[in-house]
Amino acid sequence: MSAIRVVMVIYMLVVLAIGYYAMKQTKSSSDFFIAGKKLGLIALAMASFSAAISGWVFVGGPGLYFSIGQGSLWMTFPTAISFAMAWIILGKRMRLLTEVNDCMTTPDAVYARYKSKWVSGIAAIAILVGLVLYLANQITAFAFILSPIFKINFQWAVLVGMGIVLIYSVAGGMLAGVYTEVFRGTCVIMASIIIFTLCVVTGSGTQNMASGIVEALSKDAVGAKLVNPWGIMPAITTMSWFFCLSIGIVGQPHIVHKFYMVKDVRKMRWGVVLAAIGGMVSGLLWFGVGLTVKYLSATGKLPAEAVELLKKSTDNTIVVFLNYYTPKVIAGVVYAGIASAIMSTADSFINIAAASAVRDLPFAFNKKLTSNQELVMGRIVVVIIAVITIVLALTLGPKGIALLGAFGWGTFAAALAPAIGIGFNWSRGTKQAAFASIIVGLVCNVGLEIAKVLGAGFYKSYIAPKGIYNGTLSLCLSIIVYILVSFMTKEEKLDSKVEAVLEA
Amino acid sequence: MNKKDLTVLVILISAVLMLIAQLTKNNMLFALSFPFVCIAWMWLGAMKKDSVRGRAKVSLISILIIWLIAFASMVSINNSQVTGYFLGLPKATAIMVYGVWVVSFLVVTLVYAIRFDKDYITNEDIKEFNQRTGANLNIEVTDNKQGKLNM
Repeated sequence: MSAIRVVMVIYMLVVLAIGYYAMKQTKSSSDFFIAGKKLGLIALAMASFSAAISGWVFVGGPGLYFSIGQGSLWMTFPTAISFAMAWIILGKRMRLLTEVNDCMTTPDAVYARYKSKWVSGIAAIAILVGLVLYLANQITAFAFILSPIFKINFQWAVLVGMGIVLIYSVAGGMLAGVYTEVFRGTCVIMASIIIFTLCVVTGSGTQNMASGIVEALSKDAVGAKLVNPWGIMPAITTMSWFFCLSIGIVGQPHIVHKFYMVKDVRKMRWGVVLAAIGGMVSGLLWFGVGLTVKYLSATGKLPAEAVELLKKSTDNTIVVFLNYYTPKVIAGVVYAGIASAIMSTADSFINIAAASAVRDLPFAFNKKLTSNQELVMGRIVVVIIAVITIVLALTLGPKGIALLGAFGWGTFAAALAPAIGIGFNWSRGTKQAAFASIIVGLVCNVGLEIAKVLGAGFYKSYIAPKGIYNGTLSLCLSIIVYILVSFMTKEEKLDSKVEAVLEA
Repeated sequence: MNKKDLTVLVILISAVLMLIAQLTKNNMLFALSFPFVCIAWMWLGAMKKDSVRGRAKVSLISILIIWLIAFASMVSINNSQVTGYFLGLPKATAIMVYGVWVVSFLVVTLVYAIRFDKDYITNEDIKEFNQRTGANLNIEVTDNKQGKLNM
């Protein structure tokens, strides 16, 4: 453990140094919120990949594989194509929009498209609420990792984690987040390749592990189900994950936001390939660790301490592999990579939430701050958001990971994907449609998640038995509402520059 | 009704079918409808003046067909048994890993990058955009023979 701690501390020092460097580079609100529109190819690719692949992928992913099998991979497999979806559907149009409209945030873009402060305001609220909850989810996961390594209790781990995120987030804003993401993205990609190789060697190949699981867990064909495409989940559930996590990318403000930062349009060309490769390599870690630990567990080859860890929480799947089957220095790099994955995702969230609070909401109420005021207020709001996050994380504890995570990707996809993803490609889309679809997506997904957590009767009777994934159901409804309302309401004349963006 | 309207209608109809599939727990209907939403949405994004250009069209149609076949096959296969292995994985899982995961990257993501300046944003597009908006996307000719431009 001491070697792991040393590597993690060194890694964190590098991250802080990057934050300090970014602080020196941050001179305006444009630097703070959209990295000064200076991102090149590698930075764009790594920042997009890092923002999409949060730390939960490395903590929750292998744990989910351990619990439900191969079906869990439908949550990570979208990365092979989801970045291309975002690039094709929105990349060019969002980047061109910044040329004619000086957009810094997703609600800025929404306003430019629909010319409605109601629509941009409701988008800002959806983003603010979703990001604060998602941020709390990240910090909770961070504390889950830090707590056992540094032998500190969960509460202290939350404070330490939030503190580190705050330092470079307040100081360097989005520029710090982007620089950090490049560093940690590179580390995570390299570590994932090494870990996957170790997994294959430890389990003597994927076929040996799959057949071992099938034989060891033959009762009720559980083993066969685990290694087949849907795992032990209904097929419709896992396909729903694939759908929502692929096309839902166009509703993620932390991904869409990256397109405003690109230095020039052509830098986007190979960025999508690099981002996808990064995502796919991370998927290998999820697959490799999940399969290997499941195989070792099913065949009774795990040490007793490891079995105990897994009994406490299946999220310890990654911990088991790193602690018992990985050289300590590599384990330290992976732990640090996971921690900084959470940190950089959290940093992206915290800055976008701040931008919503100091730019988009005041705008919806006809207020406008100067660039300097935005910068100062941005940093103050970041601190306020951090305090709310800490309160949420401490109140809900480690069990809050799943609860808070439910408000993340699915909520953004359902609330924002049609208004942005269809709206920026179809001039017939109207502001009434955008407003209605955002409300329907937000209320439906959050409502269903609350019903699920509270064990509401209708949810138990009608939704859960059908294997419905709330995010996908809500996204379908939101799409239908957006298109139908657009056809039912009067077509609006678009601003000539926005029209040029839509037709580019 | 123009081609963009028609594409949006395809998304609408497919989304309604997805909704029905979820409410009736019909795996096959879901497997055959969600690819249409995804690909039609990308088709909409790739459209320039009511049409999708060159290889982008081939790429998107190919992935639609591949997904329909792959997901329909996986839904049809008995999930409670493993009948054989292909490249280290159970056959059904091999469809998932190689047929959906890897092939999606090759057929869409890689093709997007390769065909970027021919099918997705050409020099003419940028010139036209500059003219229409008064924007100043800086275009400099660096290689006249190959017609490559840097911005």
